[in-house]
This record gives sequence, structure tokens and C-alpha cells, in this order.
Amino acid sequence: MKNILQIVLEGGLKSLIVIIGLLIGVAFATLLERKVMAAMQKRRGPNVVGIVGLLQPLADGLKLVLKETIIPIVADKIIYAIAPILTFTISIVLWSVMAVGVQSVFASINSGVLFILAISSIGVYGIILAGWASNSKYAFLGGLRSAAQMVSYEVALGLIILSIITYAGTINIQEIMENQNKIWFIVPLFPGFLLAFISALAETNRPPFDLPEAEAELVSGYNVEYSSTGFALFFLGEYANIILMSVLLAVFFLGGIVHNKILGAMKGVSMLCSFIWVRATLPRYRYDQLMYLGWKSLLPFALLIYVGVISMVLMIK
Amino acid sequence: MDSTLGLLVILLGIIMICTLVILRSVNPIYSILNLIVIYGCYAAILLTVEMEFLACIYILVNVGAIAVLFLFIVMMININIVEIQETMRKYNIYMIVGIIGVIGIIGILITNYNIRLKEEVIADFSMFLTTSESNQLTVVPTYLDYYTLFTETTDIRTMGSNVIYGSQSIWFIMACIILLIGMVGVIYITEDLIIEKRHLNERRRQDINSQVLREYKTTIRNYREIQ
Amino acid sequence: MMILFESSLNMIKYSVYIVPLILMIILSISIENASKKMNIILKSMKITIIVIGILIMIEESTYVKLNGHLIKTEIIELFEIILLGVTYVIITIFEKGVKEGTKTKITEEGIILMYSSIIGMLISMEAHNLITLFLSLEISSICFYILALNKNSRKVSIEGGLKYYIVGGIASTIILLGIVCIYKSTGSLMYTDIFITLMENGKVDNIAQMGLSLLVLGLIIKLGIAPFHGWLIDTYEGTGMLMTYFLTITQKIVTIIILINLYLMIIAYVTIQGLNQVLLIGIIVTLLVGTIGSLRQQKLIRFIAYSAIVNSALLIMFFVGNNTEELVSYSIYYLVNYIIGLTVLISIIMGLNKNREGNIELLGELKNIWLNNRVVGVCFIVVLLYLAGLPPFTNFISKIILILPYIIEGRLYITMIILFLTVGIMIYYVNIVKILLIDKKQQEERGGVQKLETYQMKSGGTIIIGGMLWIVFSQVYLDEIINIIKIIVAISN
Repeated sequence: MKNILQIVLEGGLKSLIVIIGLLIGVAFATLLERKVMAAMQKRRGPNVVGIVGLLQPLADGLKLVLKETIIPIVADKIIYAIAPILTFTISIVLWSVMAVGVQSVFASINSGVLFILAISSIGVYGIILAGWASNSKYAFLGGLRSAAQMVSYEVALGLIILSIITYAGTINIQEIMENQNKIWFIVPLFPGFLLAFISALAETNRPPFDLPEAEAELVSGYNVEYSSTGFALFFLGEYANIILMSVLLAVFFLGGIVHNKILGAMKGVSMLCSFIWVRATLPRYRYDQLMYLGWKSLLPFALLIYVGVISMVLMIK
Repeated sequence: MDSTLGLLVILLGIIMICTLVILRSVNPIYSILNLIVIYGCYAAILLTVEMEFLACIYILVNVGAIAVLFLFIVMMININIVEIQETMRKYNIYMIVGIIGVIGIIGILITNYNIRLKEEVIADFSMFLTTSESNQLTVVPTYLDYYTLFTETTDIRTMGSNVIYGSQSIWFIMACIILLIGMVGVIYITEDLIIEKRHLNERRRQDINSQVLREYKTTIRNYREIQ
Repeated sequence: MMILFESSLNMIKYSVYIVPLILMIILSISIENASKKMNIILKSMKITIIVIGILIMIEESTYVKLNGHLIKTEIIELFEIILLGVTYVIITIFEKGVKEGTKTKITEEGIILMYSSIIGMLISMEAHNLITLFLSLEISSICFYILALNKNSRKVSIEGGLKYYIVGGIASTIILLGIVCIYKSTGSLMYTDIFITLMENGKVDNIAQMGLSLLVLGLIIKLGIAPFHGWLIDTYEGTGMLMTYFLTITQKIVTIIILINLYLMIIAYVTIQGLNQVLLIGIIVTLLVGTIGSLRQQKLIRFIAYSAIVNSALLIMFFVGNNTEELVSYSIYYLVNYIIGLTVLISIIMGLNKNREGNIELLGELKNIWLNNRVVGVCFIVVLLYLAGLPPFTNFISKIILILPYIIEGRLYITMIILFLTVGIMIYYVNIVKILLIDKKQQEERGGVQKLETYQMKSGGTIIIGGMLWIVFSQVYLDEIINIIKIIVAISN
């Protein structure tokens, strides 16, 4: 009994640390996005709440939580309630295998990369269910678009991750980071990095692939009907996914977080900044162009890279 | 009852309830959602046998790819729920047969599961027993014990070197042929539809070049000039 | 090192199955001219069948290969060659259909599917491991589900194909459940290991009995024995004549050889409570249903489907008796006779084309065979009587030697019932002879203008002549043929 209590306490504390860190990270990621975009467009950005607007995300979050929760009468209420919770939970669960150093990780499992792939593939359900359960045309179309986009770009991303696994010879995240001691994987696998970056943009529904949220056509995508906490959970989940993707890219290609943790964090933040950079500069794709890009350009190219990596590994050994 | 077996029983109970809901529910979307829960439970059962890789692949393929497509299609099809409700009443009798079958399978799984535990595999060898006990033993089924293989190295290495690319490679090849048949078969069945659609598209084709090159002076003329 | 070498040789040999498949797919994509493409694919299919047949004949027999997944015996070799021969005949008929542009035409995907089903069937014949058996059965049956959709008659064939799919899926699940039960009680999947474990235990426990009988049940559902026969007739109705021929013959060959393998390796030495009685009841009910059901049929294809059911019931008779090897060899002899009879029957029907419409579909139209060409008419009647099992023909002997051992075992009543029902089967074969010879032509009564020349015998001459020669000369060399089969069975056991 005492043993179980100890396990529960330890696990709870550990997960609490991860969740709180993640939430703070998400809050300041939004601020970072607004500030960086403001700098690119020669504006000031948020600067009223707190010193240089540091408390802005807190104010936003408080505002969102305090608003009234609206559940549409025609909605399927159970699924309507489950969908945002699912999205947020999955985005948190993904962080459990993310290593923040050689020793510091919540759960060091052997097949960490596969775990991330598997769990992130469940993430589609939150969106598709939210779109269906709202019982509104805009939300439904947004959900369908978003799900199709995520499924099709997951294939290319999975192939690139497969080639990384083949190159590193392991599927443990920490071992992948240790294998990059001599040289970062971005050097031998540069085309793979470009493809993974594009696929990550599409996976997280970021511009230029933000079709589900195309304001002009679909109001706001799958989360039109959501307000207050539900919306906040979607928002949190989305940004947690963005941070995860940027950290994942840093881990796979930029050497990860091995010795110097500040330097490691800087890698992740630089990837995040490049996400924002893309948002600030590029226009949106058309839907058929998006699908063509996914299936007819990225997928064959990713297959080619995979074959190349296999032959490279065979030549080295 | 040890803790793993208890966990297994709970998971099997969830699976059984979800199966019933799948059969009973009128809205097909609920059926698919319950199917996803079942897939999750299967993956959890695989995790109790310490096969992380298989569990991850199971979720990745079944939940991440197949069930999403199912859900996608079912959502887009307009289904008449009332009609289904009426036809569902016919199948109430078959529910009983289904329940009996599920209970039988669970019984087989539970009785079979104990043997996989490592201590009991060791206990099966007769050299640990006294002579009087070993005389009573009949031939005990000797299952191929993957458990020791998995604990020695990672499960991927074991599966790759011993099962998929090793002694059981013919299964792998045959599974590949089945997938190929699936792809060719879809083409065979829908060939007529594809050809029809192609003809339709040829008629509707946009000629962007001529549309862009069209000019005001050449296309729009005065009505009297034509006459 | 030697083992490694041998297994790599095996892999090279099995690439004979897969390389033609890849080549056919590449050909079907790369060649643009449609008629040229079909021609080349059909030719390559023929060459592949011949090459596989030669390899099977060259291969040394009686050994276990590929880590015990496959086994090779004389009896399996015989069945494989029969299967390849039947496929060759079907491909030639298809080739003629493609050349003339009749209803029998087939697309290149159909040929690829047929070839991959043949791969599955060849592996399932040789299977020595239960999972290998299941997977290879799945390969062939998935191909069959797709091939059962005949695109010319849409509605009927979709219904039939769906029925086939559902029933086949249930049968596969039952087989898988049986495999699980056997694995649970014996802990192995190889036939020999299962046999050794069951023998050493002394008595067979209930779960193993259940597993074996579920395995047999699943295979029997795929054959279409009586309680599970309804789907088969509807499926064959929508499939078209040639594909029906392909499905019936190949399904029978494969299932019978799997049952023989199971029987000779495991089930003959194991007492399973009730299985024999259930199978016997199934056989009798099948004969009854086949006799009564086919009496009022108007369509030729339904008639062929009913005769297929009846014959498959007679084919699994060896399972019920106690006299193992002898009954197995008689059953093989019956199968050979049935295949030859059906081949001649189908090639007469397919060879006779209406001017534009295609083939004969109704039983009443068979009258035209007699009116058009007397020689072919006589051949047709001879084949019908041969299939019915009238005394001068060899099929009579093949039936009687299947049934007579039961008298020796002392099961007089059952033998009586089966003999009585075989006479009943004869009725509907003779009924067609009546339609051919005695009935008046329907168009003449209406005063129609349609002439006899609309029907023409275009192809199938060699097959008909070969079949007739077999019917005549197998009578002369009856003992020799049966003895050869007996020797083959005795060697391989």
C-alpha cells in the first residue's frame, strides 16, 4: 500500500512538473508569436499588460476561462465535450517521452519515436469529432479538411522519421540525440529536414497550410461553436503540438538537448521562430494544391530519401 | 490473482462492453468510436506482455489510419437512422450467440494467459519437480517462448531477426501478396467508374492558356458588326 | 551452412511465383495498345503455368522445406498438376474469347487476380503449417471474392459477390478459431508436431477436438455442403459460366487436398466425437437438397451449381469411412473424372455461340445443340450420361467404389440411402437429355422466324475430342489408372 502511494505521488509530481512547464511554455509561445510577427511587420505588438506585455498571455487566458460556456442544442453533447479534452490530453501525453537531456525524461521507453508517431496519429480524432459533434456546416467542413490534411501529411513525416531511425539505428529518443555528438543529422539529411519542416507545418495546421481555419471561407474551422474553456483547450493543444514539433525537429536534426540545456532550448526556440517566420511571410495554399503537394511531391520525394538513406547505411556498414 | 491478470480481465471486460455497444448502437459513428476503444484495449493487452513495438504499431495502423478513414467515410455518407433502428430489431436473437462466442474467447484467453508468465514456464520443466510429480505429467504444450527473446534484446530486433525476416519469412511475403491483391482488386472493381469519370472530365476540361490569352478586342464584338 | 544454402535455393524457387506477378503488373501498366497488352499478358500467363508445372515435376518429392512451412508429397504433386492443367484450359478459352470479342472477355487485372489466386492455392496445397495454410487460403479466397463480380450482369453479380464475401469471411474466421484452439491444446502449428503431441497424450482433449472439427467445418463451408449451400448457387449465378467453372473446380481441388492432408496426417489417428456423424448427415442432406433443388431450375448455370454441390458431397465421403488410403484414392479418381466431364460440358456450351448474344443461358436453349450439330449433340449426351454415372461409363465405377466400402463396414442403411439418392441425381442429368432429344423447339411453336444458323460451334474441338477419348479409353485401362492413384497415395503417406 505504501509502495503504491509512493508511486502515485512520484508520478503525480513528475507529471505536474511537465504539465505546468508545458502550460507556461504555451502561454509564452503565443506572446513570442505576436512579438516576432510584430517585429517583422514593423509594429510594436502587445505592450500594455505588464512590462513589455509579459503578462498579456495570462490576461488572455483568464479572459477565455471567465467567458460563458455555450453548448449548442443540436450538438452531440458527450462527444462535443470530449473532443477538446482529447486534443489537450494527447498533446500533453506526447511530452511524456520527450527527453530534456540525457537523464531527465519522464518515461524513457525503448520505442519512443514510435510512441510519438502513434499518439500523434490519435490527435486527429479531437478535431474530426469536434467538427462532427458541433452539428454545424462550417465546423464539419473544417474538421474534414483538417483531418484529411493531417492524415496525408503524416505519411510523409512518418517516412522521414523512418529514415532518421534507419540512419541512427535506434528508436530511443535519447540514443538518437547521443548519436548526433559528432555531426548533426541536418548535414547528411538536409533534404529530409526540409521535407520534415514542411510536413510539420501541415501537421500542426500552420500557415501556409492553415486551410481548416481559412477565415474567409470557413469562419474559424472546426472550433467555431466552441467558446471559453473548450476553445482554450483547443488553443492550448494546438500550441503544445507546435512546440512539440519544433522540439522534435531540433532533436532529430539539430543535435537535441545533450549537455548544455540553455543551448538545447535555444534550438527549439529557433525552430519555433522559423514557424512564425513562415506564417508572417507566406500566403495560403489552395486545397487541391495542398493535396497534390502532399501526395504527388512530398511522398515520392520522401520515399526517394528513404531509399537513399538505406543505401547510405548499407555502404557505411 | 496477480495484478497483470486483473488488468487483463478489466481490459477484456471493456472490450466486451464495447462490442455490445457496437452491435447495439444505431448511429454508426458511435460504433466506430467504440471500435477505436477496442483497438486501444488490444494495444494495452500487448503492453502487458511488454511488447511496446507491436502496441505502438497496432495503434499507428488501426487507430491512426484505418479507423480515421472509416470515420471519415461514415461521416460524409448520409445515413437514415430510423430505417436502421427498424432493421436492428431483427438481429436481437443473434446477440445471444455473439455473447456466448465472446465469453468463450475470453475464457480461452484467460486460461491461456497464465502460461505466458515466466515463472510458470520454468515450473513446467520437470527437472525442478520431484520424481513422483514428474511421473504424473503428461506431455505439456511447449509454446514458443517469445518472452525470453524479448527480455534479452529489444522486441524489434527479435521480431526482425527471428520472425519476419527469419524462419517465418513466408508469412511476410504472403501478407504482402494479400495487400497487392487488395490494390489490384479495387482497380478491377471500380474500373468502369474510373473510365466513365475520365470521359466526363475530358469534356469539362479547362484550357487555361486560351482563357488567359483571350482579349477584349477579339472576343467582344458589336452585335451589328457580326451581322 | 548446408541448411542456409538449401533455404536460399528454396527462396529462389519460390521467386518463380512472385517474379511473374511483378512482370505482369509492369506489363499491364507499360503497354498502351489494349489488344496487344491482353495478348502478351495471356501468353505470359500460359508460359508461367508451364514453367511452374515443369518445376513441380522436376522437384524431388517427400520432404519438408522452408523451415517446415511446406511439404511436398506425390499426392500433392498430382493435385498441383491437375490444377495447373485446368487453369491452362481456362486461359485458352479466355484467349479465344478475347480474340473474338465475345462475352467471355476479361481485363488484365482479372488475369493478375487469377494468377495470384493460383499462387495462394499452390501454397495452401503444400502447407505444412496452420498459419501458412490460413494465409494462403486467404490469398486465394480474396481473389475469388473479387473475381466473382462479373461486370456484365451488374445487379445479380453484386448480390452474389457480397454473399460470397460474407460467407467466405465467416468460414475464414471459423478456420482461424480452430487454429487457435489447436495451438492452445498442443502448443504447435506444424502438422507433425500436432500429431506427435496428440499421440503422446494418449487421449485427445476437448479443445483439440473442437479445433480440428472447426477447421474441417470452415473448409466444408467453403465447399458448400448442405446447411451452407444457399450462397453458392446465388454466387455462381452472377459469376458467368467460365468463372463458375474456374471457381468450382479450383475450390474443390484445393479444399479436397487440404482435407486429405489433414486426414492423412492427423485426423485419421484421432477419434473426434460426433464429427463423423455430423459429416454423414451433412452429406445425405446435401445429396437430398441437390437432387430436389435442381429439378425445377430453368437456368443452365444454376443447374451446374447444384451438380457442383452434389459432387462435392460425394467427394468428402472419404472422411467418414474407416478405410483411409483406399477411400482417398477412390475420391481422387472421382475428382479426376468429374473434372474431365465438367470440362467437356463447359467447352461444348462455351463453344456454341449465338450470333451476337453470347452463350446459352437457359436450359430450353440446349435443344439447339442437337438441331445444329448432331455429332456435338451426341458428345453432349454422352458427357451428361457420364456425369450422371450410368453403368457403361467409368463414372459409374468411380461412384460405386466410393460407396461400396461402407457395406463392408456394416453401415447398410446409410449405404442404401446414398445409393438411392445417387439414382435421384441421375434424374436431372437425364432430364436434360430429354430436353435435348424429345422436347419440341420453342420458337417453332410461336411460329418464329429465327433460324438454326444463329447458333454456331466455333471452338473447343480439341478439348471435346480429348474428353471423349478419356471417356472411352479410361474404360479400357480402368485398373491401371486406379492402381496408379493407389500407388501415389501409398507412397506419399
